[in-house]
Amino acid sequence: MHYDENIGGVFLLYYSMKIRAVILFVLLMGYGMIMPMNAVAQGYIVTGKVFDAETGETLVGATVFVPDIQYGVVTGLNGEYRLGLPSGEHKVVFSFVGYENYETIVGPDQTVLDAGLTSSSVSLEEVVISARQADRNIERADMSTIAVSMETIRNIPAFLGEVDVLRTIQLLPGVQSAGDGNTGFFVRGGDADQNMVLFDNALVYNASHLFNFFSVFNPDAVADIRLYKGGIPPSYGGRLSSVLDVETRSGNMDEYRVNGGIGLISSRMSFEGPLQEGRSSFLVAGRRTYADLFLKLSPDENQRDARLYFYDLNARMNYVVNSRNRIFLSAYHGKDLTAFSNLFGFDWGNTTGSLRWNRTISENLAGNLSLLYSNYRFNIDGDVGPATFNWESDVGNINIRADFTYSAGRDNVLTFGAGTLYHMLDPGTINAAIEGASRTTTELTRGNALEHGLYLNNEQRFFNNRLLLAYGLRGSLFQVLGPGKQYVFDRSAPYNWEVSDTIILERGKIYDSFWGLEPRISIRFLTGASSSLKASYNRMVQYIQQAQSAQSVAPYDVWYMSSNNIPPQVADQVAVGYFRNFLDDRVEASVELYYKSMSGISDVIDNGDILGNELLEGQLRVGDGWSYGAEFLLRKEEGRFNGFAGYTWSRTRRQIDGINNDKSYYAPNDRRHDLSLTGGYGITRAVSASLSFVFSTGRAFTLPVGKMFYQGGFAPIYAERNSSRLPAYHRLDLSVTWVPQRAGTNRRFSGSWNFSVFNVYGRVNPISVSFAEDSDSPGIPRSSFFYIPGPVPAITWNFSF
Amino acid sequence: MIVRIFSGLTVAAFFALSLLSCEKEVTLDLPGSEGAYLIVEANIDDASALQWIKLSLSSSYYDVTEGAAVSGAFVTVFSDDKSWTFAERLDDSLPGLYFSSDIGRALEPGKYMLFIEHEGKTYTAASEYKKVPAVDSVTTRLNFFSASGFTSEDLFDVLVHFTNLPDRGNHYLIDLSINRKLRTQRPGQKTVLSDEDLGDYVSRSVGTINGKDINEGDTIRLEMRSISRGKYDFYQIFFFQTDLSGNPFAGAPPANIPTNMSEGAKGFFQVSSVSSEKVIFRK
Repeated sequence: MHYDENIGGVFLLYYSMKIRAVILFVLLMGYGMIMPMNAVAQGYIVTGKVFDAETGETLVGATVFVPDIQYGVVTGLNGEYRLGLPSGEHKVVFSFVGYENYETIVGPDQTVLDAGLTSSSVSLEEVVISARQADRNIERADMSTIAVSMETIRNIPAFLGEVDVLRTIQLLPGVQSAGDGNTGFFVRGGDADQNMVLFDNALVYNASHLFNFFSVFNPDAVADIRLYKGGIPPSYGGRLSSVLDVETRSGNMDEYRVNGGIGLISSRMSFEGPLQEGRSSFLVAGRRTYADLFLKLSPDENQRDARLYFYDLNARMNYVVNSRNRIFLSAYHGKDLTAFSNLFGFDWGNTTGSLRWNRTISENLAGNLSLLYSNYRFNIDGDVGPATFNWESDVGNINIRADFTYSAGRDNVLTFGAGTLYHMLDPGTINAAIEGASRTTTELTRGNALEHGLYLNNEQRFFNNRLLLAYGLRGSLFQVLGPGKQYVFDRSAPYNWEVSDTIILERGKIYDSFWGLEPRISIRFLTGASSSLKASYNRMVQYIQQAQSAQSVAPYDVWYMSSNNIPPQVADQVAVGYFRNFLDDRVEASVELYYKSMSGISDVIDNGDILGNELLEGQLRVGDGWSYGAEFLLRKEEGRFNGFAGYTWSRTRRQIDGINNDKSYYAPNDRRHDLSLTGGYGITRAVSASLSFVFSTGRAFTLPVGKMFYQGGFAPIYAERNSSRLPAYHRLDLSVTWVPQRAGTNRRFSGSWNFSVFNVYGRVNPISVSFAEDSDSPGIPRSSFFYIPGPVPAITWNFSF
Repeated sequence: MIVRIFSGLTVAAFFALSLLSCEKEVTLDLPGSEGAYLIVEANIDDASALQWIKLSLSSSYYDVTEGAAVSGAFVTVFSDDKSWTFAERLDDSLPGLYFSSDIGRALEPGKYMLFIEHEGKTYTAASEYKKVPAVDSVTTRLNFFSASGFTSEDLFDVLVHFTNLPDRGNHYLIDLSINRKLRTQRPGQKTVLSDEDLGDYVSRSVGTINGKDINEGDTIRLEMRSISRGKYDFYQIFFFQTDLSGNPFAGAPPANIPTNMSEGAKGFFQVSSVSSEKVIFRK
């Protein structure tokens, strides 16, 4: 993918022309001068928005379906839809998970139709999700994509009572957990840094709190999540394996509401309401853990001085300017703070911001102009007398993008757009002052880069909607900018690559450039009234990566970009699937097979030094990876009993010259079997119960085949990399929710109690494994697991008024 | 230097994680190896005439005894123009230990090769003998954690003072003894230095002694050896593999400690020069 200057120049020129065209288009859009580009022959367009009738919150992914022509669309990120209809009146059905269906008749004289859906949740159905577009999974073209409602997430037993988006994601087929105490996840053989985590479209660099026990997503602030494992639309680019799109709630347009919860380790509260009734709304949400307050009770003075907590703040504002224009503003800031007395302090956190202008330009054209900001920084300070230490790291980006949807008739919807993302990766400067040391400063390789994307996608129906074809192309260009530094390594030695040259990158100049053409194709063929066959192919290109330690994602893992040493990562994935509904569409079933081929996959050499190393790239080797598997999903979201069962069989391997004697080996995230069962049952009007059981093959690991004694100490002798397995992982979690029934006047207030038990039967699932001598009996070999002890009970009180 | 600081960082991260986790000793069903590995412990220096090389076999991980001694091997060290044969005692009293009674006094700057012939296989390794700076002095002081009241124990730092060699790229190994008893016997206890991290004149702590283990008037002896970059890495990684084992934030996946031996043998061959200095301990 590395290209020379001439080819790059041509691409750049072509691209800049496209950019200018888009800018011109946006300007014209702003003045409302775009005329309908192509009226629908003998038909008409209906546009509108689907929202929660109670809160006014927009519903993303709701289905708008026209039964008589077997045609439907799905609402976009702002709850909006566009529907091309043939002449005459038609019945339109609006539906969404957890809401009652809404049906109405439209005719040619009605071009705008908003629909407010009523939540189907009442106390008896606290865990019941009903009323949705029954055959949505059959009808849609996308595959390898799962939308999960917050109702579903809330009903799954939670660790320490903390409802968590990322822990729910880990239960889905094709998604593997990184283990207990870890919100990291792996999708179809990809690494954790190959997941694009978006919060209101802004990138989140580190989605975990408290050393991976909790995710950054406050459940009170989240409206909806959608995970793409494959068949990823061309509007997304920059990560190899998945896109996790998390949308925050809009806030209630009509009345003020307070939601909150008090748990064992944290409390949270959100406040929402109208700014101008019917036109604008706001939501603010906050969360803080208070484990540190218990430390104050410790008899140990040093522990009393310790600090260990995190907080989150979310804010969102929606403003309906007029029927054609809406503005959305969203911000997030979260921080973890740890300290041990005044000797050591370690803080880290994300900040994101999103500003989006949505405009209905014409009857068949709508667009979004977004300005996005993301930042992740950490600061480590140490002061132990003779040694002081400081490391500040700051990575972030500013992203501007324009996205458009054009309806070219009822059988043809075009989406297209462009964007530029400015990466600012400053892993930091490490200042370490130690007596006797000459070198006190280590400057890690910083880098700036521009990542441009341009895409076009067409969704087209054939044979009276029997065949649905979505095909598109994304072009991406990544330009490394100065200032910065690049190293050239002498690669003659197998392991210790010495620096043979250093290139100083001057400010403002473009150095390496990489590009990628990323085709995305999805096909859906209806094989019956309640079944369909689907197939997809997509290519993804990733230009920035994260150096991760072997067993867990650490807050100080640094991001680095494609360079003279590190090529972009490229993945080609094909998937086929069969989707079938049973029992009047109340039960969904699907089988998907996938094969993913990856190039540019990097791994750390034996005993590589990746922590705070300015020569990090010399510690990595690059090669190929491949993953294939079969995923089975059975889901019932309606009725008193509901839940889902997912099973994945998969295999993931790598071959990287310079690692494992150049022989292929299992990726650390390889799991042969992965089973998840979740279920909820409404026992009475007031009480519901749920359970979750997971089982997976132990992760691939490097275990000792023996040990060597040397100078009175011993060290393990290891087998080939990842050639063994840790014990299988399994765990059962339970929870019971009690909603006290309130008689009387104050019906506005509602409260509920959630009792949960994590790891009911106390399975020891290792976070990490140690092979070392017994500290009490030097010379005696031992092995041990670090694990989260179970069972872990928790109680949380949630309220709303 | 940086490595030790980062080990502290990973330990601190692990400390936070450990607030929510437990440790449990387990016995795992480990993979078997096709055969035992030859372990070579060959540290030759110029401190004394008599030098030894130890040969043993690797053992299964959970075996509490040391690996079996390897007897009957032919062990030879060559320089450009000389060779020394290392031989076992004739009375078989120290199996697996091979001695040379004169190499220590004959070492000169240059390259040395180790040849081991055992059961039809020949194992080789190379090492360069480089000069080590003279130690000017050794001093002690109360450790920061004791002086600041952070711990109630009396801990004492041992500091080495020496002038660095003008040509950089040198690495050193530091050992401490109290009253002739080596306190840093095991690899994880030793201190290694890279002069690329050091100033022209070095005054720094190279070890900590607990006040319970030393009395006024005891003699602290410090030995500094020249070692190769490979041996420097060997000790650093030994430290990581043992003291930080199980720390999920510690970086690279588990892997074998590097060796300069051929044919799959483990261990290391190093030829060093030694300088030393003593101090009488006073609180």
